[in-house]
Amino acid sequence: MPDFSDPVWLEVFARAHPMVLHVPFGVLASLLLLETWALVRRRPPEGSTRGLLAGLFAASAALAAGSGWFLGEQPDYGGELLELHENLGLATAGVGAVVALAAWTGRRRLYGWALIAGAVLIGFTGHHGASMTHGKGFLLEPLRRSEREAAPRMPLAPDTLGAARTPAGSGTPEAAGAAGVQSAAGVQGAASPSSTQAASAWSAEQRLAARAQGLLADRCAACHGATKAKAGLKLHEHAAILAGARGGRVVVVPGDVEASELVRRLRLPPDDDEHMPPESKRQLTAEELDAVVAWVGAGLPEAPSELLEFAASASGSAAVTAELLANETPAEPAAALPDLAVTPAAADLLAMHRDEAEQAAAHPGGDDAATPDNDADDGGVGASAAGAVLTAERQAVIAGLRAEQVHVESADPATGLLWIDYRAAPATSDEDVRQLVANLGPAIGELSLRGTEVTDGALGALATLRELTRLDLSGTAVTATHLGELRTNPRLATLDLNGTAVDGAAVETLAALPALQRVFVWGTALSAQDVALLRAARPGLFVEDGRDLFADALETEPAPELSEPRPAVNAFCPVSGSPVDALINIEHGDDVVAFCCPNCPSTFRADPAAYPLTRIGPQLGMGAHRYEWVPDWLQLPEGQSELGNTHGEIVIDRAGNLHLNTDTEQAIMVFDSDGRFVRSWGAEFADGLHGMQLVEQEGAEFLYFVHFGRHEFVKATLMGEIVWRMGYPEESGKYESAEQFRPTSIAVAPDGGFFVADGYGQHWVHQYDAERRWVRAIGGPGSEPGRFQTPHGVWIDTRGGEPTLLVADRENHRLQRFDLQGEPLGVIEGMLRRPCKIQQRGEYLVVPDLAGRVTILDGDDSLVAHLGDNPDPARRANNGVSRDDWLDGEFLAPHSAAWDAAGNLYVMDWNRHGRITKLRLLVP
Amino acid sequence: MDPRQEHRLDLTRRRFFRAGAAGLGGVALSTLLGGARPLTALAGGGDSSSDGERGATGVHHTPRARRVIYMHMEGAPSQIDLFDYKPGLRARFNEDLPDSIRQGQRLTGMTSEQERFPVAPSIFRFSRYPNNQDGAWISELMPHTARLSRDLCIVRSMHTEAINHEPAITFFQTGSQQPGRASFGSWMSYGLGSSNDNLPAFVVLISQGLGNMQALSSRFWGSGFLPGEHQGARLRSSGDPVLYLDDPPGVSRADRRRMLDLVGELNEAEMARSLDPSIRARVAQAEMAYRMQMSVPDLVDFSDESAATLAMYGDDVHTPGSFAANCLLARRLAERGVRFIQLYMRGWDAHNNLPKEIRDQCNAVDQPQAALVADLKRRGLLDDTLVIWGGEFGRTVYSQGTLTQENYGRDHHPRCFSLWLAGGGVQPGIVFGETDDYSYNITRDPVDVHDLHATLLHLLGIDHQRLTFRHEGRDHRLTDVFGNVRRELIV
Repeated sequence: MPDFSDPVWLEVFARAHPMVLHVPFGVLASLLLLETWALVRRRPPEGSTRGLLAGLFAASAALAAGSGWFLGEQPDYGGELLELHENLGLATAGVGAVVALAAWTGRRRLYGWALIAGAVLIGFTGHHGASMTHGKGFLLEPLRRSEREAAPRMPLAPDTLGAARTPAGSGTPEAAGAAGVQSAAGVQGAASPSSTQAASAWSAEQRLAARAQGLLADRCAACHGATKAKAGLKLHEHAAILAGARGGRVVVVPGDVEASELVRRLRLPPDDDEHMPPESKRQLTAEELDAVVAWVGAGLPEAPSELLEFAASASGSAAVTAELLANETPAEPAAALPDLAVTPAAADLLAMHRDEAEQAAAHPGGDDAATPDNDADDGGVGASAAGAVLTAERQAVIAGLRAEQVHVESADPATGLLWIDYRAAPATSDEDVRQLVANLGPAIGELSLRGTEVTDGALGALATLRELTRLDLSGTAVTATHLGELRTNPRLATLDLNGTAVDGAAVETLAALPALQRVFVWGTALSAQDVALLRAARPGLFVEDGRDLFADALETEPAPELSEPRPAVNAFCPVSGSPVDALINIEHGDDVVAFCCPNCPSTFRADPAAYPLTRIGPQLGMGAHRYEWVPDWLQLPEGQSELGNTHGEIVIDRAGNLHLNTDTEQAIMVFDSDGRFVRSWGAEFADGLHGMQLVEQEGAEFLYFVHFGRHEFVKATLMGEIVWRMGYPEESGKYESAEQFRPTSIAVAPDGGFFVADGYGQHWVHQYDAERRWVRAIGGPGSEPGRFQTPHGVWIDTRGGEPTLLVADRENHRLQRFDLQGEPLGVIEGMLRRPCKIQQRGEYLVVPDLAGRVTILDGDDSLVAHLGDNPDPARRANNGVSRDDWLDGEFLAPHSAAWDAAGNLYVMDWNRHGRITKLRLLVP
Repeated sequence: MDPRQEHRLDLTRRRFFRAGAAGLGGVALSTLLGGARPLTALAGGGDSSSDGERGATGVHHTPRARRVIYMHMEGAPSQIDLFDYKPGLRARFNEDLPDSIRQGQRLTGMTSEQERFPVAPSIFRFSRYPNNQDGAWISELMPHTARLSRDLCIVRSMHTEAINHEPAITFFQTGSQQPGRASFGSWMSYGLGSSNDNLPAFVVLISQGLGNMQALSSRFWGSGFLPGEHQGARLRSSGDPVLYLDDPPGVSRADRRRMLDLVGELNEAEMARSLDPSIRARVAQAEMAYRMQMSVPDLVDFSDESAATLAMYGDDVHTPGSFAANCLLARRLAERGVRFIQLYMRGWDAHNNLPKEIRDQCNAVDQPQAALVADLKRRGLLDDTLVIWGGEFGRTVYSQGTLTQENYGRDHHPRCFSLWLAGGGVQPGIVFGETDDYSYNITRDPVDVHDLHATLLHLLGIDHQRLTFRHEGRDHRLTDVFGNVRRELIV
């Protein structure tokens, strides 16, 4: 005996047996082939080949036998088959050694016989080994199975089985009443010995035992049987089951399901290591498992041998299993129930019926059942509440109904009454109803004929339904005439007549229905008065006519007093700098502060000083021209506290830089789009640089500007290099001296010609061609159209087809339009006070109005908006308002206004301290 | 995977039980009774299994309700602005929520960083409507629904375990926050089957919201571990409600019938050979689709509705996929015997800008949902139809983000929220449960989700402890190991 304390490799070696054992087969086959071929060719084979193969056979056979021996000692194996297999295996190994020795020593006769003996021995060894692993008869099983199915089934003597049936063929109301209570007992309860008192040859218990034992023999005994007993466990017969496994391990405790290892293993999920049968083997169905469990629970009764033989003769055959199970169904031919074996619910039902039958036999009086109070005539269907009984006939009827899409369902498990619903079978006729009543009448608890073709003709049949509690006739053709027939329904509590032609004539009949509690008459011909009559006639009757579905409020709380909502003071999150979500805000002091996300408020609260607020300016304008006032936006050069008098113009170059004038020696200052100072130049142009235009010519940008103090106009580069400069237009004949020429504005036409406005001088606009030759003088002083009072600003309007000249005729409170030949085209007035200049962007014009506002005009020269209109006339056009008196949202004396490419607007007020305001475009 | 191996795995015992014993147990029962019907055990509760391995076998007691219409307001509507009337809060505008109320309870990541929790009273006016107690206070947002107070059972003391949408909806739909369990509708389909073979037992209808919307996972109506035929069938809101229902050109209905019969024979042969129960499910689904070819066009054709009825549901009823259209569809499905009709209305997740969002949402749902209840009632269907309306949790009394007198937002609040029930044996005209003055904690009669499930199942004739399904080695219930039937909510 090998020692179990041996190292693990021994076990590994043992487990190699199923693999190793195939080697000697192969080698032997090769050897036999070799010898056969030699015999055929009458030439002996190569001696070395024979010797090598013979040696291999001996060695592999020895290995197989050795590993097999150790494997046989493992606890999973046992039984007489094993011993036989082991002995044959050892013999084969022995013969293998003889074959090898004979081959090597050249004893050809001995070699021949030994080879034959080895082939025979290894064949038997292999057969037994395979029987152990695959079960006996594995190879020919399919043949036997087909024979078995072809042969007539072994009949069960009808009288033998018939004796087991309960005497009462039908009508077991108590049982039905007890169904709900009894159901929990299930198979186990059904099989308990106490309830099996029927005088029959084979009790339910015996049949259960036969079934369970048959199942174990069929599914388990291949590995746990007489020939092969893995783990020493044998399940092929009753006594062996009780004997348990090797080492006295009990696998079944009779009567105690939970303590039984067998049950536990069967119930484990199949992929569990301990589950039985192994996952790859045929499993028990739920019902089969139930049977085994019930059998254990019932105390492991032993099956009579003849019944066991019957079960074994055709184990696994559904029909036989059904007969084993089903032969007690009252008045129910077993043949009608073909599929029972695989359906646990069916088994339940059968178990229940069996219970009922047995109880009925035990308690003929039925005093312990729920007996509905029905002392009226029973309609000839047996006892009261006979609806519960599902006789075969009724089941057939139900099946027929279902085939017609009629829904049949239990209305009440306590009584077994049915809810039958025809809503999916609209073609149902009176005749169908009559048949239904005839077939299932006593079982009908609730009936819906909603929307069917049923008419008054069906009411007579319906009136006979004694168990009917709810009837739905909505949408049918029933009328008030015959409703009275329902007076004979003793339990009809709910009646649905919605959408029928029932009219006032029904009031009396409805009031007379004895058990009626709820009636639905919405959509019928019953008037509100009829309904009132009905309610009066039957107090307590619920009548739903769809008229009073909604009820108004009894009282309402006062409206909350809300103050005006306050907007946030900032547009950008003080913590992150991102634009704010206006919905995320807190109160901070007197302000509402908004943030970008819900996380920032707490950061801000922790140290408000660390996160300075950038307050949003007032908002101006409307529609596409809404702007936020951005105060204190310009960053002056280091050490400079103010710009100085601003009395000029703002122009913006391609790069977005602002070029603006002051009256200081920084006559032209340049700031970038963020308001940072870039440079300044033009000390010689201090005091009087008044109007500018930025022009792009041959790829370069140039500034044209006028200087009323120097009586000249100039073209320069953006860096301050003078291209040319020109004095007063002497050739016009309008001037006696240069001092009379005080130009305020210059506008360059697309062709390179330009217009110079003598706004502070003689009120002419002088036209020059591209070669700077004077062409003509336009206007002259006066208030009639075509003349000017202070033509303060000029602009070439390129919005339409032909460019035109626009002149801000300031003290005439208007703009004037001319063609480029100087002919007047029209006047824009009405919305202007003292227009200083015009600039354009897209189809819009902006006009800075010295009298305290900036005006925007659209493509039709109509007013879009006035921005920042100063409400105080005293502060309008007032050059002296000090910084402390500037108010956000109010202009003082707009002198120039320019749009950048993004649509932000920059406004210069005529102010001695210098005021440049940014209006940030708010995109809607 | 090796197909042979796969096949063997398909035939494991567990799988066999799942589809064969439990899913088809009822079929087998009805086979006994002569029809191919699932699980509606004629003879009553047959759950006599001693080992719990099988699932339902029909009702356990007399049902009060035969079907469910569940209007889920996805995103969680604010109870404070709808049903949980807190007039005292107006005087506490912008006060900090007392620590004695908040008690350091869990917050979402969206407001846990907030330094203050300022009280935001509802800006909506409440009115008292008659019911079977001393009236129900309901906000002006729900004027139509409020007028049905005599029929509503308003539960103000719901609470849940989850604080975010996905787990909270999963919890409401399946009884567990973890995905993978079967949804309520699937349990009903599994436990009771359909009462109309021409339509699925579990139908899902989805309406897009007007407010902040959250994801809507299809597993909310999945069958989890239950057999696939029990999952909810979603009807599409535009175009064909069910795709590929029309016969292709040149294929007549008789052709299709012949094809189905032939395929059915082949499937039967395969079923006999392999015992794979999923084949039976496939056959059943093919037959269902065939019948739906007839039933669905009729279902979605509103032309047989009267003008007055259509008007009752509101103008939106003509827009497929609107909540109004889905409410009317729900009534038509209920009439046709569908067991579980799940409506989803998205867009209630008003973290910001709640007054505007909830007003839009309520405008979309109030009239149709009230019309649905009223329509069911006058047709006699409300007697056995259980209507549920509610979100997955509530919303906080304190404001998330902005708080002005007219604008505020509310974060998720699982500690208390309101929903309402109607019909199907539910106590009508009551308001159940109470919360504290801040609608923050429940002070009387808390109802948790498991309780609700147990109660609803009870009304449907099912003992929630006995409707089980064995999966992964344990018996699963909709109510897991919890849940009490709340008899106070039942007539």
